[in-house]
Amino acid sequence: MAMISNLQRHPVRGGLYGLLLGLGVAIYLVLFAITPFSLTTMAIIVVVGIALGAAWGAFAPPKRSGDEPLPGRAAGVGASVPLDDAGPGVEVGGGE
Amino acid sequence: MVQKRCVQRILIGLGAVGIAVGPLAVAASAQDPPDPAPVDLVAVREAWAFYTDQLFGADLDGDGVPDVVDSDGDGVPDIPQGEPGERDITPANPLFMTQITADLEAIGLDTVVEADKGSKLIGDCGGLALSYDGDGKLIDVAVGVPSNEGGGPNGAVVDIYGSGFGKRAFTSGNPFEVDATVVYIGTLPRDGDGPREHNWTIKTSGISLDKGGDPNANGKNRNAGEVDLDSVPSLLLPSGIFPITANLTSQNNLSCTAEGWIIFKGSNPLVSLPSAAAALFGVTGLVGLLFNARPAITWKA
Repeated sequence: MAMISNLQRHPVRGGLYGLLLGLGVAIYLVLFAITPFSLTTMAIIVVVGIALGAAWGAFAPPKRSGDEPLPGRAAGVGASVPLDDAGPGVEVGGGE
Repeated sequence: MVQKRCVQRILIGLGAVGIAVGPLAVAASAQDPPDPAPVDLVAVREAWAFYTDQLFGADLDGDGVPDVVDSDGDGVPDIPQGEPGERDITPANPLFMTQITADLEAIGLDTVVEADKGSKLIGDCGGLALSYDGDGKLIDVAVGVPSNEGGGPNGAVVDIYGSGFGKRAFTSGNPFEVDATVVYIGTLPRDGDGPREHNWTIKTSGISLDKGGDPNANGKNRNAGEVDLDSVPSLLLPSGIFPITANLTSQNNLSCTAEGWIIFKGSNPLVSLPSAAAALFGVTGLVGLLFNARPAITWKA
């Protein structure tokens, strides 16, 4: 049976987390007087957070999850897991 | 395929940098130009002498104790009486005025206080503000020279105490330091009828902090008082540098607009409600990005 890999991107989720991170960073920058309080500056930092978060959610190095096939069984479109990168949860060899 | 993806990521990275740097550069270039009018030191000295006399000498209620120093009339001065400041005297002591005046004279009568951006005093208003820390030590003093008293077209607020001595006060580079207590006096104008049926607002970055007004039937042209942050719970104390804009308009066309920067130094930035909110947002965002927003490869048969 062929295993087909599917890459799921999360730009919206990344953007939301980026918004939260941007808010936190903006507040700390003001609290520690690194930047003066300004709605414009804070909005810029939050927008940058959203942009970077969305980019991270879309293009960061992917993690492997789900029922990952054993290396020897990998086949089909996009199934290109190298033998030396079995990933988590896959036992290669006898273990301890 | 790999090259295409690399190019795609580089373009996205450049885009992100552009988003980050572009607006910041625009915001930086859009700041107010410097006030073009340096202010004469003689005007600063004169304003300092006038407001100090008004602040520490006025006894309008005739109880024998200066009004500001004993605003509640209990015979105990309001001026913090903790450890003396670096000049080893308190502002209520006449020696303090003598010392400041001597410091100002030491600069030289022909000296001008250079122009700087960020603080304005538009209208015929002026004043004096003294800031104290929680131990009663004086930390900052600024005097506002009205435009019609030698302060130039935008007025002039000058730092006459501490590290910023002799520079423009309330600027972004030399914000007025606020810790526990601020004692102030302001006039509009110095002589003559004050503003009637006036309304005033105080804002920071466009957000209203306070507003009010008064019929001022007596035509009072000055106000003095004390802002006591010591009574505010430490969790609610602000921290950081804030732009402040105060505006007053009146029925008899007297008006005043004051702009400047304040730095709050009285609280621990890590122990406050904004800090807790920032920690919550930041940790949630970071953990979410690392563990819940990364692209994922899944497999199915």
